[in-house]
Amino acid sequence: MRKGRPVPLGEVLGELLRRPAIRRGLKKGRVLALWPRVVGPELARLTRPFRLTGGTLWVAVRDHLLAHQLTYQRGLLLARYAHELGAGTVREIRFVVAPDLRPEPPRREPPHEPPPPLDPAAEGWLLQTIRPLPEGLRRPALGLGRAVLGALAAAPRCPVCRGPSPEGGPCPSCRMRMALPAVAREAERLLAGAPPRLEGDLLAAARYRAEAQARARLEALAPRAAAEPDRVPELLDAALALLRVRLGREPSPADLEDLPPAVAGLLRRHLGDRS
Amino acid sequence: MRLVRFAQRGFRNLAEGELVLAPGLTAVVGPNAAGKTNLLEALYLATGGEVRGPLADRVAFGAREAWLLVEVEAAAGRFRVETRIGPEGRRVWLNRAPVGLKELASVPGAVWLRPEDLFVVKGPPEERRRFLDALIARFSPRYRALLAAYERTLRQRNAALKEGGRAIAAWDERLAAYGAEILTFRRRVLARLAPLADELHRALALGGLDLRPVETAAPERLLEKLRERLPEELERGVTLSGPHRDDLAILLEGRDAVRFASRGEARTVALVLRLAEHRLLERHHQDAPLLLLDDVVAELDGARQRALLAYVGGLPQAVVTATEPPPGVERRVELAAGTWRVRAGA
Repeated sequence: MRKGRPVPLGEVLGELLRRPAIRRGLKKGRVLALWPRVVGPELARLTRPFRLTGGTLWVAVRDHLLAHQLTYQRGLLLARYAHELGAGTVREIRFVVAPDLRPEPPRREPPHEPPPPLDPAAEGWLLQTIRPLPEGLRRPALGLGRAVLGALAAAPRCPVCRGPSPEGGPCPSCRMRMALPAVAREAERLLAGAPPRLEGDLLAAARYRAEAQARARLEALAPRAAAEPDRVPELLDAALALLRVRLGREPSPADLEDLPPAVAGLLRRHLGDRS
Repeated sequence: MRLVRFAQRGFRNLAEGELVLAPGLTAVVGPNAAGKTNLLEALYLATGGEVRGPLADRVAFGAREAWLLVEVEAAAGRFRVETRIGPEGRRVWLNRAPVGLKELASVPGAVWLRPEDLFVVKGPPEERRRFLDALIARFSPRYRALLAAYERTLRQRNAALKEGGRAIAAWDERLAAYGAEILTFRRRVLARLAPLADELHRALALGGLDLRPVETAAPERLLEKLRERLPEELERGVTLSGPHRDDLAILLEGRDAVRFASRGEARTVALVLRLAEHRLLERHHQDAPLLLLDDVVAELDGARQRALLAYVGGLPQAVVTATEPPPGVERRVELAAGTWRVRAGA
């Protein structure tokens, strides 16, 4: 893999999920998330688990009384954790008094719309990626994956290299490539129908530049050609240059079929005149 | 232009040796004080570049002189440039014949980007004048001569001012004549540099960049202005109008970069000015100079770093220094304690 190129997020995600630090973080998240189920909804409102160090879970409690009571239930709570996560994940629970801990308001699920479905390839890839994850993690990972991949698919992309382009339009790297004299020369060559000399990203930048140039020329010529019929051949030349860049080869009559018949006819005749 | 071979002896901390430089982008990688900047400076001097500060400082401790050799393939042919830096200054041989520095003007040479370029944007007007003057002198020996003549006349006129202004009219006319020609040169070059800088800045940072001369007097009004301000000048003993008091306005989206640009923006502008210089020289010679980037990559954010590397990667030849290998650059020269080792990448 070449450095500095965009990497599919899925690859990064899969790799991340295998890292020890991330695994620890995930474990912590699960332990904290399970707390309401372990302690029961009423007590969960008055307590808040906040840290997992080694096998010790730290829980903030509003007052001494509650902390005292809860220490008697420690064995029960640990047994429930062992039941949920297997023995050893949580080996000890400590209660810390935090007077400003407010009872958490009963939680209401925020209404949210399901994100638009991913395209089948991405969905299939995602399902494949999350398969090695432990049972309980797959659903949240699937949700996360869908959200991230969905956002990524919707994010603007660079029209030249297909990489991310936060501002829309060509990304800074492609803009800089287009500013290169060699790329400018290549764009001129492509417009003239000469075979490319560059390759890879530089050629892509030259193509984009050539296309933009051809389109700009066409747009500038169109109103003038409408007023001065003498300039119509120039307009047709510009149109052929645009086609040439788009196709990456000399346009043939067959390439004109999608165009309105009148335009195609004109261009076809112009092609014939030139050859 | 392509630098094919470089060899040196007695330049700063560099170990005697030879370097064969491939076309395309090469990274010079090494820890601090390994000699990265020295290597770039040696390449710059060897291709005809001019630096500030005494040249004798460039000679290694204990050595009598520094010797630099480059072989370049330019559009105009193959050149062998030999430079000796010693107590009596700098002597240059082009294809084994002794020449003056200005005869190297036929070789595109090198453009050197370094962190100090920031002062062109953030420093006093003198820095901007110096940037512009050095650039114009690169393609016009006439301009170089004009600057020297103007400088000399200015000193004489200032001396005359201090002595009460006797025979000042004679100096006025000569100063105005040299000055007007300098101003015309600056306007002309700036008119060609500005669109290039604007295009590059738009590519790198999206916003537009405008360069405009700020003149104490227009070329055709210089003489008039000198006469007009004479009383004040007599009082202060210095000449107050002319190219030596002018500035270059750098406008970022219409706002003065000297005053308003953040450090990051100023760095980008400084970089863009040098890249524009490179492109102007390429246009002039129909051949791209060697581009040397000293430590500038590390100062940019990720996207601009990639953009800059994408740009220099597309040039015929460029060298970039860094403490860590920059991403995506395969050819590397590793430098440690002045000794280089070439590592061809995968």
